[in-house]
Order: sequence, then C-alpha cells, then structure tokens
Amino acid sequence: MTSTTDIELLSKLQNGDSRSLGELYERYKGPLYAFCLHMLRDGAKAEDAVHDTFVKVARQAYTLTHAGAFRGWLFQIARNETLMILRKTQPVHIEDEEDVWESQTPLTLLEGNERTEVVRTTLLSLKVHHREVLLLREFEGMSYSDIAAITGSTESTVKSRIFHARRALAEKLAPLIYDGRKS
Amino acid sequence: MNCTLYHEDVSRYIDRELDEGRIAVLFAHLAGCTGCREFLGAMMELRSTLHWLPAPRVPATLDRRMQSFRPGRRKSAPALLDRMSSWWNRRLLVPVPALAGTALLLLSAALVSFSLWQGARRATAPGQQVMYIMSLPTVEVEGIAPAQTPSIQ
Repeated sequence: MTSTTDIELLSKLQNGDSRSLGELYERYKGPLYAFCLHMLRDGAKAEDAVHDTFVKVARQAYTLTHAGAFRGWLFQIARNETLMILRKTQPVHIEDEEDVWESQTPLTLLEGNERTEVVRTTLLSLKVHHREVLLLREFEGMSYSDIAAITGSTESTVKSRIFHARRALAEKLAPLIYDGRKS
Repeated sequence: MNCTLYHEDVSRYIDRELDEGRIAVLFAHLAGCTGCREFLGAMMELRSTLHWLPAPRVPATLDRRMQSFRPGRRKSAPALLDRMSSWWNRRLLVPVPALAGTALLLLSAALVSFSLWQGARRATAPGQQVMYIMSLPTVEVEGIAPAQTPSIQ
C-alpha cells in the first residue's frame, strides 16, 4: 500500500507537483533523520543532510525510471550526503572488516547514563561502514541486496559487516543486556 | 565447520537471509552446541535492545526549512528543445574562441580582398585617371608665375 502511494507521489513530483515533495518529506523525515543522525552524530549536520537529500530528490526525481525503487534511492542519496559531510572532517576508508570500532568507549565510562544512551553511544562508536549497514538492517528492515545496492558493495560484504558489527556490539553490551533482562 | 561460521549463519538467520537447507544444518548444530545457542540468544537480545531505542525527534527547524523550500522549475524530464539547446551549448562551449578567431580572420580576408579588388579596378581604367589629372585647375598665386606647361614636341 505504502509503496503504491510512494509511486503515485513520485509520479506527481515527476510531473511538476511540488506538494507531493512535502508529502514524501512527511513520510520519510523520521527514518531519514534518524539514519543521518546516527551516521553523523551531530544534529545540525544531520539536519543539513536531510534537507540536501530532499533538495536532490526534487531536482533529480525525473532521473528515477523505476519508481518502485524510490525508498532505496532516497537512502542512497542520504548516505552519499552523510559521507560527503564526514569526508570534510575525517577520512572515510575501509581497513579491516573485523575491526569495527571507530572509538573505544569502555562501558565503565558510560555508567550512570540511561540504558538507551549507553546502547546508542556504543552503536555510534562503530566504524561508519559497519554502522550504516546495521542501521539500514535493524532500523529500516532492508534486505542484504537492498543494502548492497545503497552502499555500492556486495551482499557478501554486507552480510560480513552486519555479522561483525553485531558480534562486537553484543560482546560490549553483554553486561548491560543481561543486567536489563535480570531486572 | 567451526562455530564462527555458524555464528555468521545465526546472524543471517535472524535477518531471514538464510535458506531452508542452511537453517536445517544450523539447527542441527545448535541442538548440540551450547556456545552457539548462547550466541543466538545474545543476537536476539541485541536486536530487541536496538529496536527499543527511541527514534530521535526531527527538529522543528528542519520542518521550517523544508516548508520554505521551493523546488526549481526543472521537475520533469527536459523537453526536446531544452535537450537540443544543451546539445548546442555543449558543442559551442569549447570552440567559442576558435569561432571568434575564424570570424576575425574571415573579416580581415574580406577587407584585404576588397582593397585588392578596388586597386585592380583602378588599374584597369587608365583613361579615367588621365582625364582626372588633365582636368586639374590651374591655380594662380600672387607673385608667382604659373608654371609653364612643357610643350610636347
């Protein structure tokens, strides 16, 4: 149902109806903002990334020939925007698939914080290429093939990154997860 | 097969990306491996923990920025005329200086040709030149005797 309506909205946008852009924004602003915020770890930068994503959607809607692929296309634009912003401040490169942490934050340093904050901070400590695949899988429920198309990698790479990211997160959060289950 | 490979299968299983055949193999292994069962439990707990994270609130400033955003004119495929115009722009963008140089060269060549043609025309009409010289008026200046026209003998 949703995808059909997305197609209709995109079709209207392609025909010059600018109000449909507003409807698409209302529909996707939450997931896109969450994705950009988790990628960039900065509210103002995430805001810029979402804004620029929709500006590009408005200007390049006519280039999308397969309207059913709108959601993936939208996240692909957002991902490129976030990487562009990240590259301005830090180099983004892949070294080792198994080395998942960008910054080490021992769990002891996070004691006293809210449980959700600890989980979020740990998630944000993952390297960007591990973080993006996990975000798209866990929060957007995307398939490995969709994630591979968005990130320009293979399904095998996506599978491997998700696995390593999950394993590292589970190890680091184990005390918290199991404490939470007991209480 | 060591447990690390089963751990990868566990990750794919919870993502529903593992085929039926592999699921059967995985569950046969899980039945006899405590470590992998614990790993499956940890993965499920992690997923549940991540899913319970509250979604961040979209800032009102972003809503306002988007409300004030007005998409430009180009929202549909470029018309044929536009596409042709851009084709011409692309074609003309690089050779503009060359085109200007060529035009200047042609203009110079035309001017030179015109002057040569004028010169040639004068040369081919000597009678007119003689008539012109012969018809020059004789000017008398006070105190100076007019020059004697040499007589042709």
